[in-house]
Amino acid sequence: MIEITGLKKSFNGHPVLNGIDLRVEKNQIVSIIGESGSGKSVFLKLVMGFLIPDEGKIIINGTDINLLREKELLELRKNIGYLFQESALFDFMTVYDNLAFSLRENTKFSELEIKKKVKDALYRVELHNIEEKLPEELSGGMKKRIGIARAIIMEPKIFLCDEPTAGLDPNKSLSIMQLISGIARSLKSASIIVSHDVSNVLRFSDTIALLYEGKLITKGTKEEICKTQQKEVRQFLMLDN
Amino acid sequence: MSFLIKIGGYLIESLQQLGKILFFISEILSKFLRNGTKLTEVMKQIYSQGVQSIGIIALTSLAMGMVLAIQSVVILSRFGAKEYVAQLVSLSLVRELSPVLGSIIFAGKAGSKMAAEISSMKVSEQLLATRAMGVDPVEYFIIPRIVACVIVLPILIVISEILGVFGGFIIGVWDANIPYGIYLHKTVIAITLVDFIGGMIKTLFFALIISIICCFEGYQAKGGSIGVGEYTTKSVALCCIYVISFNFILTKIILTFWG
Repeated sequence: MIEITGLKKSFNGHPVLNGIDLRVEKNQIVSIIGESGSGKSVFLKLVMGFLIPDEGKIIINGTDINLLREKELLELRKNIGYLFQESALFDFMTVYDNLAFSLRENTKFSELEIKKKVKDALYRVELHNIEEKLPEELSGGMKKRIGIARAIIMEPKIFLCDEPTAGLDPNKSLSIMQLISGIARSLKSASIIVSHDVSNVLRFSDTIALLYEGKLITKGTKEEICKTQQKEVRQFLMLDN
Repeated sequence: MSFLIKIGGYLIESLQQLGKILFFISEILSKFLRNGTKLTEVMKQIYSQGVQSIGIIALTSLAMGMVLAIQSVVILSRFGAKEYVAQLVSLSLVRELSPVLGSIIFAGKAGSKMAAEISSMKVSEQLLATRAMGVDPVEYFIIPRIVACVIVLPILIVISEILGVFGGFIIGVWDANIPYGIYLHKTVIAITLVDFIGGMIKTLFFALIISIICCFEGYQAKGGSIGVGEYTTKSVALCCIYVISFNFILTKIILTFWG
């Protein structure tokens, strides 16, 4: 479970996040939408402990991550799956080695068990026979799928996705969101997706929140969000068009 | 006034940079002493930095020894001291030329590769991805590179010294007609253990300087592919400056203690 209270972050005196409160339960998908540059990725980096907040608390599975040292943070991150916007695959490693990386480093699995887990992860993201390929030989959609496979290979209880559909065409965006939603449900993980892909987010999330001027100005289910009278939300979702 | 502000700004920036690099070194040291290093990664780096640099080091060292011998023969012949070519070439190579020039060539070959790899991983968020998977990028990518460099560079410098002396031998025997027995004898008696160890001490320092600078600059990189180029170039330039500057300091210290 993720519990965030009063989260603030500014860069060079310019506030990016200005008091965020959010709670994500197990088996729940929460999506944060907002314009480009609204601080969505900063928010996820704070949740991962990559950045230190100016104020506020981030509690993951009962642990306040701001109180953890780097070594303890690394330990905590083993239970978090993080999908990067550009996938961030190791470009000098094959797909197999990319997926096996965290298993080799964080577990005592034998190479045979790792091989099986890599195959399972590839099966879950609907990719086959690409273990020996390098990331540069893959399409954008395939890279995204490998990124998802790498994020979930440790079967994390927290799943964070940074702009999973960025740079993909509508069909691929839909299939990637379907995949993420299906995997998040099967892992029963507490998931946060940040995106500006409104249609897919509305379709696959339990709760949607709009990040506007550093604050989550609205939170609710698809129905609640669509019924809101808040001007900023209606404008962003283009509900009046 | 604006000139003073500029100087002040530059000083503050330099102090910040110094603080960052000292913090980086202390982080590396504490993690290395606490957790050691990954041997498989060290082996990969030994191949990447060492084996792949042998060719360039061998070729340049051979040429360096030959040029040094050609010049020495010309000058020493004027004083009728041509047979001292062997001492001059071997001592120059073992004490100074091989450690310094070999390290600079190594910085251009393996150091630039190190800096480019790390900076490219930094700007494409691969280092962040490592942390996201619960693995410390300093322990996984940085420390093995530094350890490998400290192992590999002294070996390369020994190869450089041997080939440099051989280059001098070729010129001395075939061009200056010094009997090869005399040339070898003079070479062997010229180089003492102190000369060799002095050169190796310098080399170890240079290995640390090169690997730390290249990894540090790579780790600081930002600004996409242009940033990768800038930080890589900067790291090689800094390596050359620091190797040459530290060579002066180390030579002074070594000569003070060992004469």
